[in-house]
Amino acid sequence: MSLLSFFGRSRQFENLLAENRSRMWRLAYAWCHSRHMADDIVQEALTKALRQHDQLRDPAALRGWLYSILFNCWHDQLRERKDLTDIDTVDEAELPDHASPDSDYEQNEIVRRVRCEVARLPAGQREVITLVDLEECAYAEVATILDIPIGTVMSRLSRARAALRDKLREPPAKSATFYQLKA
Amino acid sequence: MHNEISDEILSAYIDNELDAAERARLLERLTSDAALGGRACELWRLKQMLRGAYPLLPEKSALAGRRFAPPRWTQALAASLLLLLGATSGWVAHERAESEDIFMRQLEAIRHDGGRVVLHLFSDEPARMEAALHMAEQLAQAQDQAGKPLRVEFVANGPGLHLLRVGGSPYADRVAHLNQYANLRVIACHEAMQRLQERGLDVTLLPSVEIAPSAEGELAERLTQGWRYIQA
Repeated sequence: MSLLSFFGRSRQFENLLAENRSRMWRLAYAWCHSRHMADDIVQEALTKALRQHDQLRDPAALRGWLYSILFNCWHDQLRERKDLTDIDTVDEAELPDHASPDSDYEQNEIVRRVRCEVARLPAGQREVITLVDLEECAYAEVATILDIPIGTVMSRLSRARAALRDKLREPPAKSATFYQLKA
Repeated sequence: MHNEISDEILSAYIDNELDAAERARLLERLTSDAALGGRACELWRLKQMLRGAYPLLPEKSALAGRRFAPPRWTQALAASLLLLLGATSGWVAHERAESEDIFMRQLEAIRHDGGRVVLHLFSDEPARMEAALHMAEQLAQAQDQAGKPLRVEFVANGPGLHLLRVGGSPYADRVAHLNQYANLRVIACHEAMQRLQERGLDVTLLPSVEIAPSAEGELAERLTQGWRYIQA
């Protein structure tokens, strides 16, 4: 029996959660870069959402509400595990197969490099840039989700983009050590 | 905004977060300042690279036994970002021109660069939609240096997709009339269509609207091919 079916009190609410599940997983993965941890964070967040669904007054606010819960679950994990910001926690299981053609291999290397540099960002910057770029959240929405001032959203985003830009300007060899991903 | 434009302001611009007055001031600078255009272009490409590095999986259950591939265009973007840093080609920005002068300067730049331009709409503000349509109509009727019609692509994604929807577009007739221009392609983003469908909206496109797998991919491909870019 699925978690959603087990806890579900409202079929409509279950459906709404299910529709958002893929996006929540992608966001959690972009924060923690671990497939298994992303699974855990999303499961926990969905469970909390089902338990607290009475708190959601405005259905239009569902996305931000879910991301706030996801963010809290992610930070619970951060508090429990201090090693999460280390680059070797990036999980290469989510990268394409290396046995693919050369062009795919090169492309995979680029994706791997971008992910590694995102993983190296401070968590606060990583959270902001992924909410803005992956989920297309407005700055005000990000401020609400993360419970920070909008000015902080802008400064974190700007610093994150500057850091990524500078790192990706470097020749690949300079950051080759960061490709040592967890087996 | 007389001298240095901060990265925060440029980020807000590419994220569609500036208000109308700020946006108008920045657009003036972008039209005339190639270096600033290069910085904005670089930030935009960075944003698209990040999106390409985390493609959305349709079902969580697909994770266990299947590895996913990022979009093909990620590589083209990466090449642009990593090898052509500082390049200023391809970036023009425009809001409905207060004067024909701005449009004429942009048109000159498009002609100079081979007469190919991609017009991008990422907004459902009626004023922006109207501005984009106006621009598309003008570009479609313009000619390059050899006297041939320009090649124009009009790409809509995000909230901008509403312009191309049956029952959702406030300018359906004008969109339909764009098919009179053989040199103009109107393209909807399939990813944006899926997102609207997930929200329960009917996404039937107006006649003659084509579909690309993703707007980012289409834009990235055109930029790497040397097309000029205009954000409506």
